[in-house]
Amino acid sequence: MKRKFTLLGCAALLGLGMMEANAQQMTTVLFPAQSSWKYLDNGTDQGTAWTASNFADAAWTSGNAELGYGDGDEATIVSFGPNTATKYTTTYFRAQFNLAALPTANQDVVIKLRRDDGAVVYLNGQEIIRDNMPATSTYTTFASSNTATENDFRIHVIPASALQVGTNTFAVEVHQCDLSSSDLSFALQLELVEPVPPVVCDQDLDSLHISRFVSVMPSTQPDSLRIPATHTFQMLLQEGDAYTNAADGITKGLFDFTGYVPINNSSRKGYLSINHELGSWPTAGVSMLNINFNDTTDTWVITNNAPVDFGGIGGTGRNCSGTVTPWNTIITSEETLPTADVNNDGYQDIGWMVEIDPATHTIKDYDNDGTPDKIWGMGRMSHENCVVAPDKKTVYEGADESSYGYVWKYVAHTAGDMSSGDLFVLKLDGPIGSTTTGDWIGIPNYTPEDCNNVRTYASAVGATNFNGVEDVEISPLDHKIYFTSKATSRVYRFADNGSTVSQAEVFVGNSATIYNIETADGIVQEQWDGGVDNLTFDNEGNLYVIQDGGRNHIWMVPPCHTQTNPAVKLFAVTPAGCEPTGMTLSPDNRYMFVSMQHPDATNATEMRDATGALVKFNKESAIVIARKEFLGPDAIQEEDTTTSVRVIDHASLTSLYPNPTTQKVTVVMNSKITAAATIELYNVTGAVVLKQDRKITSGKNEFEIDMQQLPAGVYTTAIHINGQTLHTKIIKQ
Amino acid sequence: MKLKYYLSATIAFLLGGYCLHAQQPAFDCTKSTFRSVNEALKFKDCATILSLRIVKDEVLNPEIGQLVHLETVDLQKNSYRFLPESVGALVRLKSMIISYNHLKKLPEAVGNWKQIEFLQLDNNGLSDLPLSIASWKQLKTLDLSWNNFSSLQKEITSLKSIRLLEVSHNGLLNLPEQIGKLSTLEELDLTFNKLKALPKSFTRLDKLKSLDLGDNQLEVLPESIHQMKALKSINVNNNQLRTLPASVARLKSLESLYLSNNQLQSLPESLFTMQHLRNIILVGNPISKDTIDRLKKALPHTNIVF
Repeated sequence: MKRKFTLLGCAALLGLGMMEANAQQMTTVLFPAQSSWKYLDNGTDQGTAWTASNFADAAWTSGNAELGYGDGDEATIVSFGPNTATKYTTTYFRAQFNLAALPTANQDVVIKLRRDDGAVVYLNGQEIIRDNMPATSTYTTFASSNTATENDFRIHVIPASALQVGTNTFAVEVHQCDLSSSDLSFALQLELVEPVPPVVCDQDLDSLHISRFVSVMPSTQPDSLRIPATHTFQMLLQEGDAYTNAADGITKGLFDFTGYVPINNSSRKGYLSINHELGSWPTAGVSMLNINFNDTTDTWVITNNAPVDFGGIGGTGRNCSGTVTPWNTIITSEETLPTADVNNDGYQDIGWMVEIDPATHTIKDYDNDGTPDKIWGMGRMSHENCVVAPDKKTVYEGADESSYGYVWKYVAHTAGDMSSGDLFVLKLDGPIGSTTTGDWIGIPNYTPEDCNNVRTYASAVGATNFNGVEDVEISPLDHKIYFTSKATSRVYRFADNGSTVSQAEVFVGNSATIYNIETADGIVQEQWDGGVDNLTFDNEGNLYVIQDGGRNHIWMVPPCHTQTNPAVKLFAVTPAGCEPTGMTLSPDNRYMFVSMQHPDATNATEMRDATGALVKFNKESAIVIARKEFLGPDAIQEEDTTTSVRVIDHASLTSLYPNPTTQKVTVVMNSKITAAATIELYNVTGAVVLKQDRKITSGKNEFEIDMQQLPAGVYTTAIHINGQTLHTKIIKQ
Repeated sequence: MKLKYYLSATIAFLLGGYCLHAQQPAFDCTKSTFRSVNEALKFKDCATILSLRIVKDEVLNPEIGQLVHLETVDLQKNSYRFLPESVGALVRLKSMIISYNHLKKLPEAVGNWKQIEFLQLDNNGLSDLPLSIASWKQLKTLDLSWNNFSSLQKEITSLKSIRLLEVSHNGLLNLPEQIGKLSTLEELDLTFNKLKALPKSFTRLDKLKSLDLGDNQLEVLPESIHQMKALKSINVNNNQLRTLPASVARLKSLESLYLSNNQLQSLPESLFTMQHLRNIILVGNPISKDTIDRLKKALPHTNIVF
């Protein structure tokens, strides 16, 4: 695969006067900045012949860089002539180096040039750099300006074709900006720079897992959606679509949290709860959809769409994100509004968590007094979302406020009942980075006044302000708590030990960080940028990070990612003007529900979605994304789970990819024992078309099945170990 | 593998759930949220709700003034630097949200919003308000937070129905002398300003339940604070208080007193009698351990954090 590598990071940081980009890259220095040069400093006009590789420069003086005068940091002083008021305009430099091999396709050829005041650089007789010089020049031409950055090493990427195997010759002319310029500086370093590929850790991921994909090419937002080529999407709902009951009118806009609630844990039948962050209290709210997966068309169908009635609680405001609880209700999160206690119940009216029964579209009435309640005990703040731990009692939440950007924990008194619980706020032992530990500080939440003022209390006891906490989630893998801070554009994480926390650290980000992304067209660099917002974990601990800012990407950060060994991937480039919001996954992790909030109305590109319809992202849109094997016209027939066995006593089949395949299939399995195994492949008639004997060792095993010579069709693989058999289907295309 | 074709998918699409949408919703002009001025102008005799939130506008269409039936308008998160004078024609306006724009000032004509009850002007660049705001006799909620106010003009004290006033995150140096005239005020948020003192009339705010004065530069609270008898919480975190008025103990409804990060070395004796106080937070004050111990003994049922 040809890899492209653009020095985006270098270029971006050049303007800041910095030498190094912060994306990980490997640098091979071919010609060091301290190298020896031949130079001619006698004020003569050398015309053009001196740039040729075979020019005879034996009579020139030589010395190590930096060469120049006037600054005191030169390794070699060159002459400016007899008169300080009329210094030589141009000084010439030549040097040679040997190159054993041309750069690879992954490598960029970089010249770092210090030139005071301007320079023209030739390599093997060809001009390759003209820096702070007019388009044409002679010996008497002055540099274009007297720049303040004259001592910086300026970064230039030159074509690899300028180099040749064997001897290469640099010829450089350095020009002053005027005759009385006080100094001259020249040094040059030639490097080969290649990006460090992101760490890959999806080997054990099922071949058809939604998080197995090749990163998309980053860019500014196009007027359509860019997702991996292995995936497709279906447009589910757009602003203005009619509610099922005509009397309810049309679906409002500003789609935010997009929560799939399974019915009986089904990944094919459930509710889809869509927040409307409309902010026009009291008209903001939630739309609740009933959706089914149609096995005939392999697409989703909306069977009902209704607005949730919040009249009983006086409306909701700024329904931002939320969560799907383990007991399959929705919690929608209100950001605060300056609303007083209009209904005189003691609680300020807006700024709470609200729990919805998706089946009845009603709000929980915890005290059974006939009037629905908000979750007062979780406190009043600018709620972004919350996440409920598997114990059904512990809830983490964040406050999206710059002055009160705290992380909270609520521990319900009864599992599955949010009506009462104890509230805590996180106080680290110091700034993150200097400490990894902290405590949960209890916050009173017994009276309406307590609940109204939890932020003030948290501030008074010195809670740690993370400046705009957005989403909070729990990793299914390490069970740590992950949360975003939009202001710093970081994802933090920590381990909750009950009354204390530990291992608090930055997981990914901040906005200035540049990550190397492995795309189908090679490695590219992309700045993480600002505005990280919503988070979603899949069942394998892959973390999707959604941006409201920067380029509004949907990133995916695998669990093996560390800041020193990044593994960041790019899942989606979103349509122009939009902020992706509110991602959730079906229980089987095949279907990803996400919304595109406020896309530009001018987005004109029509995309064919999984239903075959031509759709445009020109208004609020809720979509479902899946691998093509599970959505739309290319979906494969469901595997018959009655004949597929992925786990036996001593072994389990972890992954099998690619599937479908055109050539080879890699089988990944874990075994508890070392034993002889037989691998067989059957065609649809039951005939054995391939048979291998293989030794399986204790631990992870990985091997290939070559199907190149087999005709297209559905095959069954059987792995016999100790009298038991693992088997599943493979599709040969 | 079963191969699906777009044709079958399209048929299913048409016959499936989306056929639900073949039924046209009943259009109720007064309940519909219009998303542009031009769209609403087609129904200008009945258009009641207009939301231009995040429509990425820089200039508000002055024809909005023709929409005289508007009661609810949301202009949040655009780039408006000014409002056209024509907004003064929106005489039925009850709720207006203009948060997160770039407003430097409001036109005088907003004084015509005589029915306005709810007004959000937070996160703009306002440093004053027109004198005509004295006409906002129905206004209950006013949010001026995250602007550039260094003072509030006296006309704000004419808001006869105001229940909630937010002016946090500004540069307030003082308050109007007559602020005590806001006799209906229940919630007042003045956090993150530069207030050094409160005017005499301040304690006439006797309906006030929640007083947020945190992150200012106050050195004292008024001795007459006991007149603010509805107070349930007082937040004076992060100020320069050296003393507390003894009369604070006479606030019988007071539940929480947030006093963190001040210069309090002692507490008035009367405070030791506030059995009804539920929370007192004293973190970051140079108060002796003996005083804290005595307070704990005196108020055994109070949550005392120091």
